[in-house]
Amino acid sequence: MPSNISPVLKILKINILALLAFPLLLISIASKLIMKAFEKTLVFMGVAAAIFILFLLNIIINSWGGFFENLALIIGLLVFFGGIIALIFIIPFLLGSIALAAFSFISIIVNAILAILFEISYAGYSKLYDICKCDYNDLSDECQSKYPTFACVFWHLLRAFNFLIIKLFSFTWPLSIVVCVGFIGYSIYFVSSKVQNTFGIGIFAYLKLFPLIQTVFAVLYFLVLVIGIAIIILSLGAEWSEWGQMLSLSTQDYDSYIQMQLSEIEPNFLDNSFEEGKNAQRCQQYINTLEELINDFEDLKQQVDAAMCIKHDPVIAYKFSEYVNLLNELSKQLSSKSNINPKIFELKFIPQIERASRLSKDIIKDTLRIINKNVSSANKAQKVFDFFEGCSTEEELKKRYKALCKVYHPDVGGHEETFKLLQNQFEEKMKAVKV
Amino acid sequence: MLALITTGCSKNINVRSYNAVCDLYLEGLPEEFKQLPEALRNDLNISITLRNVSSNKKHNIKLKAADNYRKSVYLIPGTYEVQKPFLYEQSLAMFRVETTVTSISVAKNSRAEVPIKVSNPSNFINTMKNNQPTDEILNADIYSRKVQYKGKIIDLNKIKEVMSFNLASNSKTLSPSETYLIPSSDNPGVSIIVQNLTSTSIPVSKATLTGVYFTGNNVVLPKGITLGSNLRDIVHAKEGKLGTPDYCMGSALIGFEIDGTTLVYIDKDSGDRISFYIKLGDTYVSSVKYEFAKYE
Repeated sequence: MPSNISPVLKILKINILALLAFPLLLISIASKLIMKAFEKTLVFMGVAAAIFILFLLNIIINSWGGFFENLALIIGLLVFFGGIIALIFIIPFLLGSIALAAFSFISIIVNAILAILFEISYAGYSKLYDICKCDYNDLSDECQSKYPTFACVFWHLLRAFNFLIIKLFSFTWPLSIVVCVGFIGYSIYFVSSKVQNTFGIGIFAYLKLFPLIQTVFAVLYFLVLVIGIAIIILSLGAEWSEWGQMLSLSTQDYDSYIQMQLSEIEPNFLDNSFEEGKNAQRCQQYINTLEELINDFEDLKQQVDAAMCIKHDPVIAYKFSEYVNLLNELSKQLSSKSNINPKIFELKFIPQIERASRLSKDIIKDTLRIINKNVSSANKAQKVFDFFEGCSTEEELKKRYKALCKVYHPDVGGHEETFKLLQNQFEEKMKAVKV
Repeated sequence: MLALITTGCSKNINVRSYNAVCDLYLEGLPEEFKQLPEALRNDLNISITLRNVSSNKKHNIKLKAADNYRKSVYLIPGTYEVQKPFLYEQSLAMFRVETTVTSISVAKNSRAEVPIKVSNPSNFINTMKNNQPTDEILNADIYSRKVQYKGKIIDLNKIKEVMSFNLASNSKTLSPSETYLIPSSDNPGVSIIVQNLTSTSIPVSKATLTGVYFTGNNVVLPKGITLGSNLRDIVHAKEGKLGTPDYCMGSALIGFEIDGTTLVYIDKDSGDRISFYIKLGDTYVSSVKYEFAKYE
């Protein structure tokens, strides 16, 4: 191929791939945001339930006599038409249970679909971004003039868009705090100015016109609504910000994953005892699984390190950061509890531990895939694969060697010849460094 | 997959592509309509339903005062049954709406019309004229027990002489202290409040008149207050006709869909009490209750 054609093809390839990456990024963002918002359904329902309870209390207190008069009538009817009334209550209860089960089923299905959609689109996007980035760097190195790099319009657009998204999401937490403060301030101003405009008096003078109980209810309605909305904004802000950091990690700043550490773990949390119950044993098994994951964390990190030294893989970086965040979150939540109810543990923690376990397996699989692929491609080309590429100091060499031993040592199921190759390379490199 | 999640699996029909339009509009609305308080006018929406004869699909269309009661809707070509239009807040609106169209056929690339008319607009004009406050009512004291009803000043003490209330034919018996609301048989929207002030049970006809309750918009209170009057025009401390109420009942969050609110004014001299009721979500007066402290 003539040398002047190659850059043109490369520019074309970069632009086409960047163009393909756009919809994938949009789909992954949309699915992630919907998933996060969907997870907030319980908060929405909580706010709605609080308002409904206040509404009921308001009715009861406002027509105290009337309510109990009606209650007495209901009790009378229950006694009189016991069977019929019970049937009337049982049917809605059964229908309600079916509706609840249906809602739970739908929510699981929707979340699963969204998770798959996100995994596929995000992995696709990261790969395309990575290819574009490598090709663009090659192009910059190959061409003496800067003009060919300007022709990668869609790549520049994609990079700018990616950068904007990351910046936007990175600021969602402080932004959500600002929005919350603004929202609360505006709500108070809105109510106060409305009263001032309509009644021509201050808010406190206005509230004094009402009986105390009505004033209390009005204030409670206001507080529940405003604080409920503020909580939703804050929690969404925190989660979206977390995701912004992960996106940044996988496309902009691969090496930051190295700094990801497990937070300080309370020494006693793994010894937490469970309240007596049928499922206490099952819960204990999951605590053991979590303990194993935490103990194996350093090994996993070394393996990821080994794979990432060979090839920066955005998907592994993303998964690893998600894994670290999940373990940190789990240990933080569990450290604050001394005696855990098995039912709560089953509902809240077991799904998270299962997810952490799955992530750990995925990461190991991905790291092995990368290393093995590179070893076999080097063998095919009758070249010696350099396990220590990029390592220049003694410390770096030792670190890499230790990490790769955990994958290739025959004791952990590694190939003996590959391990010998690794050992030889390490000894040679160490000698060279010392000299 | 995202499209499936958001739109479902059904075939998505773009109704606009047929260009089959139905124009719905209100005609014959008298100029006097603009004299109604703005808050009330904005609440006087008309609802009308078009039902597709073949698919049975119903289209509920809302005509709003803010859009001059005019709306164009895109439909799937076919024959539609036009159901009776409904006017919100009828008791305060003082007019009714109707349409002579019972069915329409909408074809592709064509327009159909559903004109809605004000039934008996002259009646509305007369009512509006009668509701113009006279100097006498404008200058009257709010606790004078006088109101302008259908253009005439009436004394609330003598309301039973001006309107009929079917007291004799009412077989209801009141226990001691019990109150009862009796609607007027010839003037809808007006009711009297009677109470048994004796210590024994008595028939309604012998109970004492203790107040009057207005829910229809033919009445003008002193200072020109009508049903539908904006809350601010009455209660504002400096610019309101009555100023700050003596006390309030119900929800303090007026205008929110939580509960209605009652604003109460009490005459320091006579003890008479006037209550203005504001429905949940509204910011105008929808009914007024005048209660006497001393009975004639």
